[in-house]
Amino acid sequence: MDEIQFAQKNGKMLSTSEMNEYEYSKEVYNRWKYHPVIPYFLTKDQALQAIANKK
Amino acid sequence: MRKLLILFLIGSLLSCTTNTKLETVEVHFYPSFLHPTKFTIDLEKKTLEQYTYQDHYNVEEKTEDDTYVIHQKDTLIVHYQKTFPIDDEVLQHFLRSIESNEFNETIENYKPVLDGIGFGFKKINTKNDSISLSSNITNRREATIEYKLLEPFFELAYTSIDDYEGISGVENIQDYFAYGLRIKKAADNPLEYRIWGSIRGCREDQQELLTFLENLPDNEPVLFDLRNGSFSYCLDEVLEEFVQKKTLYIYGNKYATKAKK
Repeated sequence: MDEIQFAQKNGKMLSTSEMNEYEYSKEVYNRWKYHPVIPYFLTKDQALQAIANKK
Repeated sequence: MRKLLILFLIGSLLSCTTNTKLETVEVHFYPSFLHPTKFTIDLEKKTLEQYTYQDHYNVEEKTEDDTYVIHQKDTLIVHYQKTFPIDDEVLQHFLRSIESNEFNETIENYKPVLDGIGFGFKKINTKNDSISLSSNITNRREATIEYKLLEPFFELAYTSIDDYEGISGVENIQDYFAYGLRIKKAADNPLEYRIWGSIRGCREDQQELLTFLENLPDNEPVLFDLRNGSFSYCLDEVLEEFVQKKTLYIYGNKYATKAKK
């Protein structure tokens, strides 16, 4: 269940801008997560770990 | 008697001049899509206060015919408020800029703009008299005095604020002004750069970015901190190209991090 469905289930009314922002975040996340070329990491620690693993 | 009167008048004028000195400088920003922020520089205490707030919010009410009516509620919400000490040398440098001859009378520089940022500098003396500069012009060719004040202000802010949220707030404000490529060096080992605003456009608009990426070392890992910045979609192909040529590690895309939560 995504954030919009979760909020609605709990009786919270999300504004149009909140829903648009969430949809945009989801789109960007999926684009990054499944991007075949660009090495993307959520945190600096993850990026540093990747550098260490490559050495 | 006449000479005595003249001496008295001169004496009075001199005492006025010596008793009034600059006490506070306020710098206010009203960005289109962010909450207003006021910076207060207290010259006696040598402190900088950063204060982000909103004085109203809107509530949407659904009507019977499925449209929305927006009600404005007046209330003060404080989003950020912290005070930081200022290094004396940094403060003196800022004061020399703010006390220049060009900013010795109240100035208003406005032109019609769709979105953008309104901002102002206010010098307040010990008698509570003030001189201010108010503007919404960010083009460097048209905003000469503005940038002469903005540059030492941003230098003072970045040197004094030692809080991540505070620095991010300053970056978000600076992103409205003409400051070239929004990339700054953050660390040497490993080499790390911070993207501090929106890098827009496509390859043909971003010669400065291309030159920057070309000049990165070939065989050394380079981190990019994207926690408070972004590359446009159109620049994906540029990043893809340089990922093949260099060793880039990009972390902290704020939208992706938010969605992950």
